[in-house]
Amino acid sequence: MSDELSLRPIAQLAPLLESRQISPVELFDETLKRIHKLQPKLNSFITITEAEGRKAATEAEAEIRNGHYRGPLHGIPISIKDLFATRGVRTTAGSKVLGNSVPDFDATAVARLRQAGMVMVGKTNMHEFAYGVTNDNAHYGPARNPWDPSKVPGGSSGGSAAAVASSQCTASLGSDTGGSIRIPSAACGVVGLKPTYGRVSRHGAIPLAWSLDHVGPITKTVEDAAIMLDAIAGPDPNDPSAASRPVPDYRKEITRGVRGLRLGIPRQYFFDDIDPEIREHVNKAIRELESLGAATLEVDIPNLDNCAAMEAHITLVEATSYHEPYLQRQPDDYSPEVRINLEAGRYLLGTDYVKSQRARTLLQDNFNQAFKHADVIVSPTLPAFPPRVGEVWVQSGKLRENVVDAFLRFNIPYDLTGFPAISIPCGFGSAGLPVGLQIAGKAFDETTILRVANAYEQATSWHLRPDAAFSS
Amino acid sequence: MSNSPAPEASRSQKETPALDSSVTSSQSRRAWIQGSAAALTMLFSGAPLLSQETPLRSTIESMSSVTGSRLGDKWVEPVAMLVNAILDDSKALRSLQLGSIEMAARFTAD
Repeated sequence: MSDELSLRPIAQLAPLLESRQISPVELFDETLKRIHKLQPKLNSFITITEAEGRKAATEAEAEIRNGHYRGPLHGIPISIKDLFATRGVRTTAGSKVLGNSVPDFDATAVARLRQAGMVMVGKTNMHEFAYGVTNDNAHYGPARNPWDPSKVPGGSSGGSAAAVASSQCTASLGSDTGGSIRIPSAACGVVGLKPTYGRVSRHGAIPLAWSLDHVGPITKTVEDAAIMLDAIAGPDPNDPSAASRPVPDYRKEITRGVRGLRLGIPRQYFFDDIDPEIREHVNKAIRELESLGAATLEVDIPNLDNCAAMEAHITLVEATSYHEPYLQRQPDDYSPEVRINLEAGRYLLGTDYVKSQRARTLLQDNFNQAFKHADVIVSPTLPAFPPRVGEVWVQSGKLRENVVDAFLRFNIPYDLTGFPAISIPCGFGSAGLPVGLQIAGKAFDETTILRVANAYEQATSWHLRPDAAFSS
Repeated sequence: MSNSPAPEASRSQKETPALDSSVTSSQSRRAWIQGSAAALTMLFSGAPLLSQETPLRSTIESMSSVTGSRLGDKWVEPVAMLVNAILDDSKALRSLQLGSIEMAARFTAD
């Protein structure tokens, strides 16, 4: 079997597995071969689950042979961000603090993927405790960008996005508190979906900030994101914030095109201080969507300038609250970067935390006003290209700014509001690094953002580029 | 694994932009602390606090009985600097008029 098989998306592999033209074991072995080849270069994984993966692949093969095909994820090689509890498999959260932690249960999203028949190939590298945007991990080494290994893959789900982009897995499960699914997806040229807060259970995901944490897929295509969301979405008695509302058939809904849809373009804030190449690609993508039948209008969303302060108060305070026992017991096991954040969380004011939480409601109202006129809001995902590993500064147009400020800027509004947002590739800069297009929607309207993303993807070929780049 | 700063980044590379006031807003100063292991090394090596952080440092030191955490000298400075930067960034947020908007007992997206 050629290397080509592992480059394919779920939607192409599933019918081949169901019809037994390929076997899950064959697919797993090929994927594992890629992991062993690329791990020294990209460091996408903290743990490679070779024995468990082969066992799951063998079981999937037997089930399919016996006529018990579970659906499109049956036999598909999937990686899991090392933030999610996996029964019997070390779960570090990218930290030394939890370096020897082996949970005796699966996170709900992991359990649902297992139920759907996934073959877990490993636990992916991440920024320590998801507390950063570069995946420059002090304990397990930095994950690297497949398009240029001297560059960061973004974070915090950087290992997941890099693994999908380089076909070390077909899809991955990530988490997003300030952009941690969409940032690395944009930086690595893959699809990253942050669903609505409450759409996917957070149970078993080690928290960064409870009220901001989201769980979602990182995939090669929009259709694959819909397939993954179909598997993991839904209520969960173990997570009181998981919504009880019904889950639509996302995959079925995404092919309806964009004709008649209204795209809101927030020219202020989301288009301020961005790399001109990124601006050009995003504007071109908007024109492409117009040519497919969508209408565009400019929207103005107030209060976005407060997002950074709101995010800081909420994240620092909630993170410190969770980490307090560990901070007391083993403070020296944190990297300095994370420890300073956690210590600082003790000294912020309760009134500022509450005000930040109250301001989220205002921000939701501001976005909902815009959504009266627009079905989705389209913007860049990132204002700058990923920097070199270890570098702190990026160039966002004329503004030289810190990578944390830059990468959070367009992402945190949707963590604060809880509204769904997806990043899809929409081009490549002259240095060969990908550009991400962000499409956000109303609460629980993942269907429409997937529709728009799928229409764009079908009309373009950016999502096919990884096949060419990594086929050798 | 070591917690030491990334070896590939030299201190001079990191320090120069961090001290360039023309590009370093208070917000980016906060992020600079968050993002730069090399910058932390500089802080640990005894770079002086900005004047407005000195009172905050005293406050942090005096709060040890409240927080139950006694920060060592090398941690007080960067923590004070980060807290100060966040507070500085929060002026607009604090002046925001929220009227009767309450904090949701549990956050929901709709």
